[in-house]
Amino acid sequence: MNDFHMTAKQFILFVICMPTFLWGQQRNNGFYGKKGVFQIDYVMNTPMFNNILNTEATAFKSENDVLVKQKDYVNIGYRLNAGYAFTRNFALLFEFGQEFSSAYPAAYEFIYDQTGYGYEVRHEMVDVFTYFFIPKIEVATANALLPMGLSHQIGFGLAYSVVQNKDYTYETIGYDNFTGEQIITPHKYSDTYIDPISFAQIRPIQKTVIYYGLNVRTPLNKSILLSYGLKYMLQLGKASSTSLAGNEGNERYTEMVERAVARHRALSFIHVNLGLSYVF
Amino acid sequence: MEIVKRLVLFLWCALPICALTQPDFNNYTPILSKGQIPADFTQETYLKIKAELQNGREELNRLQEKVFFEGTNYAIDELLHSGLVVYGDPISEYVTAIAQLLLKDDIQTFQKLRFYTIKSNIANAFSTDQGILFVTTGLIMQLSSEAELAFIIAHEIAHFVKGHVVNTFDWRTKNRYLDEQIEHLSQYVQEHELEADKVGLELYYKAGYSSQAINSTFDVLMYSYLPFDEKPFPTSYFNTAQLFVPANLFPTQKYPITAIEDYDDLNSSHPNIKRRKSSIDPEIVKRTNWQESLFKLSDSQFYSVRTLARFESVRLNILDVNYADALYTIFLLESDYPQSIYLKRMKSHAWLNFMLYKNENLSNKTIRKENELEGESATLHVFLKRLNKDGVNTLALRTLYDTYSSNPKDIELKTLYEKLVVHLVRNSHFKIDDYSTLTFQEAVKKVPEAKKDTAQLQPLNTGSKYDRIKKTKIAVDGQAVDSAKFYLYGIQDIIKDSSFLRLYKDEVTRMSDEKKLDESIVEMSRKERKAAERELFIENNTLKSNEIIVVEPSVISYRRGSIDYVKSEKLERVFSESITQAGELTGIKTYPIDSRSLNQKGTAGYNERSVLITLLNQLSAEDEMTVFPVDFQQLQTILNDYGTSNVLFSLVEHTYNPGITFQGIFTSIFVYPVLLVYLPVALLTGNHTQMTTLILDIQTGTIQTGINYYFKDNPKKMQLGAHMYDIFTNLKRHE
Repeated sequence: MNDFHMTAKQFILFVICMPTFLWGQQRNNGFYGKKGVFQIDYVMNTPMFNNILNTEATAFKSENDVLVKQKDYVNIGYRLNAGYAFTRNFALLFEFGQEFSSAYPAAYEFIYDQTGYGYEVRHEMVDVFTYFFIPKIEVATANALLPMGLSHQIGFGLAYSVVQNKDYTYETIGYDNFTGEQIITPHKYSDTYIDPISFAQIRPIQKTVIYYGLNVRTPLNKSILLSYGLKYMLQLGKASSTSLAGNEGNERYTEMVERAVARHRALSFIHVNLGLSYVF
Repeated sequence: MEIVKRLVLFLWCALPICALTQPDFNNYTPILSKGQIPADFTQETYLKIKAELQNGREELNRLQEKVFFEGTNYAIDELLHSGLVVYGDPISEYVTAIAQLLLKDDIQTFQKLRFYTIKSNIANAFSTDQGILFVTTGLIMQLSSEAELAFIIAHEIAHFVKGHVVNTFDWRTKNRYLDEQIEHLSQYVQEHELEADKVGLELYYKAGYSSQAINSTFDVLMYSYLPFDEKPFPTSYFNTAQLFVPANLFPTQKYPITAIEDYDDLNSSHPNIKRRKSSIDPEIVKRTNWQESLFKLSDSQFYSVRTLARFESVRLNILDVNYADALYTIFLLESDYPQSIYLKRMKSHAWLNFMLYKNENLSNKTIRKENELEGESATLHVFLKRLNKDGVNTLALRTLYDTYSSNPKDIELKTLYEKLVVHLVRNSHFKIDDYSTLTFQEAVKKVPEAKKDTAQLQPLNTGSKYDRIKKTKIAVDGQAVDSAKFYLYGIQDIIKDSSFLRLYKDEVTRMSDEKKLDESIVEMSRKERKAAERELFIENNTLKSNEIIVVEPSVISYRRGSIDYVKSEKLERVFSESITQAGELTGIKTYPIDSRSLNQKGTAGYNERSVLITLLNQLSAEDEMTVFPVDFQQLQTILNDYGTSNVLFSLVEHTYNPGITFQGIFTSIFVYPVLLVYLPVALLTGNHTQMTTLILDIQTGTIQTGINYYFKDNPKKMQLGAHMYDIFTNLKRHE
């Protein structure tokens, strides 16, 4: 029955031998004629591997102004991308993003007040907003139709992390002189007690971002595409402008927060994104 | 007197009816389907499977049922959609009539069966578990009587009644680990064949056919690899007033027929002929009172159907690139139908295509190998093998010129002839000046006796060594008439014909202009060259009109190395829809010819699709050349009906293979966080889709352009649609 084989087989054989289009000559028609793209993504960053495996990385959150232990599994954020496909397989994009994460310098730390008296303090996780500014190139296989489909994104940009100044909860831990029992006293920054972190001193932490992303845009209709993928971001740069030299007041603790933010950035390596793209 | 009047009136009425029922072989057209299109051809495969699963099969468990129904239905539908199967044609109708006769006592079985013809030169017949009985034209053309065909049909009906297909599947499932399975399977299947012979014999006997035709049926099968007749090919066949082909160019030896009855059938699906004969003989003897009819319907109907199959075999030989066989078959049919325009056309096809293959040094594909030469047709095979390129070019030109000259109004012959001249100018070393203005006989008369063809007139192997050297030298010096170069004297009238010379010179001028254009592009600056090349590219890849016939796309989706038929079929529908949508968006009018449109178009649409698939098959047989479309007439009809010469064929292949290896994972675990990159990247990039589209021009019978896309994406409607939009946008003609 070899004689009756479907044409497909011959078709394939034929096609293998057939010279393909001269791609250099091929017009770029984009996705249904649309080459511009605006993409909004929900981003999830998962330092959870670190947090699950590393038992030291326990942190606290405030519940009714009392600190309770809380593991920090995910950070979330959003990304806005705008770009244009110059050829079928090459596009330029600019990414702006914001990520909401937490930093926790240490579970317990001594803070000294102005009189030089030391308090053992534990602090609520501090909120960190990180802003991303990343110009990117987007490349795909030769026969792709950007902005649709799978693409590789390579970028080089900046990330600014800013610790948020707000009325955090912290606890001082003292001991009863007679019984030796632990006395935990919750405080708020609004109480102006010792304020472990000096928000006036803390500076935005700037990181250089080397970015690689694998992005897929699957069309839902002729204008909207579902986008999803992975982003790998190496965030490089100094941990802090200071070197834990300060030992006065809350200076040391503030530096530790800066370092914690920087460490957190470094651990934020893999991001998952899910969103929608609008093509025009 | 009244009786005579009535008789005359009856004859007047009856004659046209007879004429209608008897095909006009002088104006033969290839077999096409007729009547209402059967559901077998229009219903989607997964629906057929669903229906069969609901009914189930006692012999199989649920899982086996799924595998069996999927396997058989998709295999059959692949055949039904291949363009090779015809229904409602005279052969299928004839087979149906014989089956009805055989099953006159079992109407229920008859009603379960459908009968279709496969256009193939391989002699074969088979039935499926679904109740479809196929016969090939290659089988019909070899038969000597209706009784032989009846025995074969009875045999196939027996297979169906006994459920041999499903039994074989069941056996294979249960014995898949059996050592030397092929031998065991062969033995098992051979038992089915012998059983089918015996069960079929009972039907055959009851229908009143001849006991004598049974053994001759086996002979037909044994010798079916040979042409349908064995007649010596005359060495004077090509000789005309203008052309003389010396007889010494033909082989003198005979090529014996080697088939034997007792061949080794250890790994064969069928027992050898000797075993089949010895198995059936006692059954024949057991039955008495044979009616001994060779024809129960009518002998004229049989011969008419057989001739149809024989005419079709010429076309099929050309499609199968068996040009020597095609020419031999034409020779066999010419004696009965010397005026057949169809045979003349097919002869031109064969010669033109053979010439194309010869000039590409591929003629061995068109002629049987030395060890395959058997019977009388070997003479022609050997002759064609011995011809050099110039000889082939000349004989092709001679044949096409003569056939066209004798039928100057025939568009097909004209187009064939013109294409040949184009090819002579562009792809061969053909030069008019090389040819003599004398005929071979005139040339022989003009040269002195001593210088006449040494090979022909005085055999070189006589005389002393020195005599032979001298004689050879005369021939080599070119002053003698060398019979081996007979072709130089074969077109003396053509090279004087002004119409030929005009055609020839026009093509030379056209080629020269193209060359100049190429040279001017080379001399341009880089920027100018790029612009010129782009302009040329766009011109070559733009549709002649913004209308296109879209033949049902093929989709093959692989899952774990094998085809996922259900997904493939569903994607086919989606792809088809996306093509139509892309056409609407880009302003290209699409005319779909697919299974779904067949419900509206019916048999006309089915025939059109078959013709177009045949063209694709023909063009894809050899990528180094474009042969002339064998169904030229039918393509012209399609061209006229649709008003466009653009035809789109498309194929999508998809597989999901992330390429994750154990070594990769193992390595990644130790080089954390490589695993976090390795696994997601592999999973996201695992889709591999190849999308190929071909635009054929049915006016010229050529491929206008081909587009090959590879992308790492899942082929869904919008994705496929976007790529089709891209293709159509690029191909669209902007006035």
